[in-house]
Amino acid sequence: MTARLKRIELEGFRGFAERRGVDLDADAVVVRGDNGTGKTSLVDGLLWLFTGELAHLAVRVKGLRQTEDSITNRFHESDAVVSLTVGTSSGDQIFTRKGNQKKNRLFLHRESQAHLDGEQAEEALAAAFGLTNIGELCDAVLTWGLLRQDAMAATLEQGGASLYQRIAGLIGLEQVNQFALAASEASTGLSRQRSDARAAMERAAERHEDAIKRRSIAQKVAASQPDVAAVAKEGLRAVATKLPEGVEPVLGSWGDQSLVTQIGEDADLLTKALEALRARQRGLAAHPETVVELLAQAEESASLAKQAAAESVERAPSMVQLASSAIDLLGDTCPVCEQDIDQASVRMHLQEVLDQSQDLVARSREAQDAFIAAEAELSRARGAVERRRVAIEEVRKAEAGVRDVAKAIEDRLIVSVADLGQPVVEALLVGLRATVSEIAGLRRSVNEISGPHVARLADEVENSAADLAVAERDFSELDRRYKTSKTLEQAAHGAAEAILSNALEELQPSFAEVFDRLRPSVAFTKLSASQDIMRNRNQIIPVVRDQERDIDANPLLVFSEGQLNVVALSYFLGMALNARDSSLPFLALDDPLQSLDVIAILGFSDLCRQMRGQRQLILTTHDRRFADVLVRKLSPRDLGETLLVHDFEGWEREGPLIETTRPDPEPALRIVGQAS
Amino acid sequence: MNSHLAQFADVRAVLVDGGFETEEREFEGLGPVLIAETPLALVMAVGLPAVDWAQYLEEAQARLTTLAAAHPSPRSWDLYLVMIHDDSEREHWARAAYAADTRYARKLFVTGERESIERSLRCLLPLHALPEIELTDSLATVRQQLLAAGVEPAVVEAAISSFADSSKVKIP
Repeated sequence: MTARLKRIELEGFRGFAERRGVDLDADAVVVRGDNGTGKTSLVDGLLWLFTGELAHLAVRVKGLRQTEDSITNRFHESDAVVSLTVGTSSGDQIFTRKGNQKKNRLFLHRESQAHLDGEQAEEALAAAFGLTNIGELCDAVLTWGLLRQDAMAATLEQGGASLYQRIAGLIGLEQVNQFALAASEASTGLSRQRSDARAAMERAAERHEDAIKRRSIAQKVAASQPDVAAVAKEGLRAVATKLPEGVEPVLGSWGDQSLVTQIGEDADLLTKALEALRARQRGLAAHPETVVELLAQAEESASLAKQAAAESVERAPSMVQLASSAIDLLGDTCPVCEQDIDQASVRMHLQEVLDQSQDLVARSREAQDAFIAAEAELSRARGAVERRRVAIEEVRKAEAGVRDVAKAIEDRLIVSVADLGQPVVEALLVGLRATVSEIAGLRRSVNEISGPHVARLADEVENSAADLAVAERDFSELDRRYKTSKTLEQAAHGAAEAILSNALEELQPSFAEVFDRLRPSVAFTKLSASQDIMRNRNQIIPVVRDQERDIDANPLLVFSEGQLNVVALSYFLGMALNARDSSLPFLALDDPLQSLDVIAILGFSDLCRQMRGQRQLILTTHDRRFADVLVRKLSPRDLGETLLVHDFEGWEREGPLIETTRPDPEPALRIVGQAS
Repeated sequence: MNSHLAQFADVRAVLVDGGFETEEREFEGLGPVLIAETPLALVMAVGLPAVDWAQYLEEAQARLTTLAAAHPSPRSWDLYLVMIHDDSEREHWARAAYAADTRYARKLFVTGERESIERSLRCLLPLHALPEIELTDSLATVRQQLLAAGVEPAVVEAAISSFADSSKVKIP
């Protein structure tokens, strides 16, 4: 593997608004600066370029309304751009990722070669690191290439399953786990089908047993050769008891289905006729007999009123006219006898007559009004009488209808309907209904002791046996497949266990290789990891051991946060040291040693010295003390070593303020072999 | 040193294997000591006496810093004092306290067999050539497990090939 990270440029990305370039072309790169100066943005830039996402940020806003983009800079208007120059045996390749949280695209620029973008660029990025696809590259970066701040400690905190996931990724266990998952899904599906098949089989068995029982009963009854006629006679006697006294059905044969049907229809007709009669009777009740008396009274009142009105009309107007005319003609002498007239006296008399006549006219009008009212009342009384007459007629028709129906069924019943009153008819109706039911039951009973019925039941037994056999076969087949799927699942878990067990055996020295150098505890001086399988779930449990006392403990329970960081780092670096041929040529660690004591810091610095020959190291830290030790330890001591130190001296809205130094080699003077 | 001869030899062997150049020297008040160096580290290994070992340690540290000062270089910050002791439980915490004091030189206490010594000196040593994890065909392991469990070979092949084709396990 000859690939090497040479330079990264960031613009509009996280803490970088304006374009900033950071030289990476050294076997060790130390980025130091206070919190908030952009160190983590730099590491995130690497992560985004390789994987196209920052999952740890996406998790933080999961379930929230996304009003801001987690990738782009708040002080920069366009998309984020991160460019990484990768030196390879075939020359420098510049990979550039542009976009935002939702959408981004990778581009590749190469000297004297065609530029690529999209999937082709992604594949080229993987190929630059000796991997066959971008998925492998993402896994490698996340598993042992780049350690985000606190990520490994968080993995430990999340429990054994999380650590298992990381190690599973390292040793290629995903396929086995996926196989186990697929077998489990198949098993779940088959389990459901098997349950259905079992239920179907049980139903088929019930049907079969029921058929056998019914056939057995029928066979026994048939074998006893019962007297069918006697059974029928007894049944008919039972029917007769349901009918009113004096009514007997004419049943020629117990098996006469058409007769039973006819009786049922008779009952329906009777029911309808009775309902119609009841309705008409209710209608008649609304027109009582008193309306006739009211009519007579109205007729008499009308006659009197008529007479009074006629008389008043006849008299009153002529008297008024006469009196009025006489007053107009009144003079000093009588027009007839020409004698002198006491005009005043006569006028007074005539005026009195006229007044009396007008009063008479008023009364005449009243008599006219009374006559009109009497006429109206008479008309209403006549209407009521007419309606009662119609209601009586309808009741008679309905009664005739009931009688007609009764007459119609007379042929089928030994009964005379001529004298049937309504209560008897209603009792007859109840009896007919019961008769239909009884006769139907009688027919069933007689059928069940017949030969064809037994034969039918025998067929039913045969068919249900065939159905049961099919159901049993289906269940058996599904049961076999279900058990096979469970075996497959178990085998996959067994394989995962075996593979992991072997892998852990190979990984243990790597964990110790790191842990021994950092020595976070005086008592617990050995780190390992044990496999724990609980309910088919593989977990990896961290273990620290006091070798003098032979006591094991879970570091999550006995270590401080700083010590836990060492454990986390030991696992991560251990895995990185053990990674397969296609491992990445770099190791990027974002603030790896937080809350550590000086022993661990010195140990880690010494470890970095040893690793720089194997991997290009990119280290960030906010801890000045650690940074100084690291820079001093990693400063080149011979011409082959290179170190770049980027001091993130502050941050402004345009981005970090970066000062870069490249310490010169300072070889040590030999002591051994020199005169003391 | 005489009481720790075997361990001295082991310390020297471990350091030599780790790329150090070594030589024995005699210092007044300390007796014979082992000096070892690489471009990255200067080491003095001494055998701690059973009594007054703390005073002896201070003296050895002073000698080491003096030696480094006589040959100034950035390596003067990388001084290691390796102290071979007799593993007295009583002195355990006192040793731990000295080990935690990294002023002037880092102190490494060693005892026991070579393996233990090597673990104690690991911070000075190059990384072990760790075996890279061998990636087996994980589905082949599944196949073996299935056959061992008595599943018919035809069923095994059908399940594995269906998984390879469609990521789903189909059981014939």
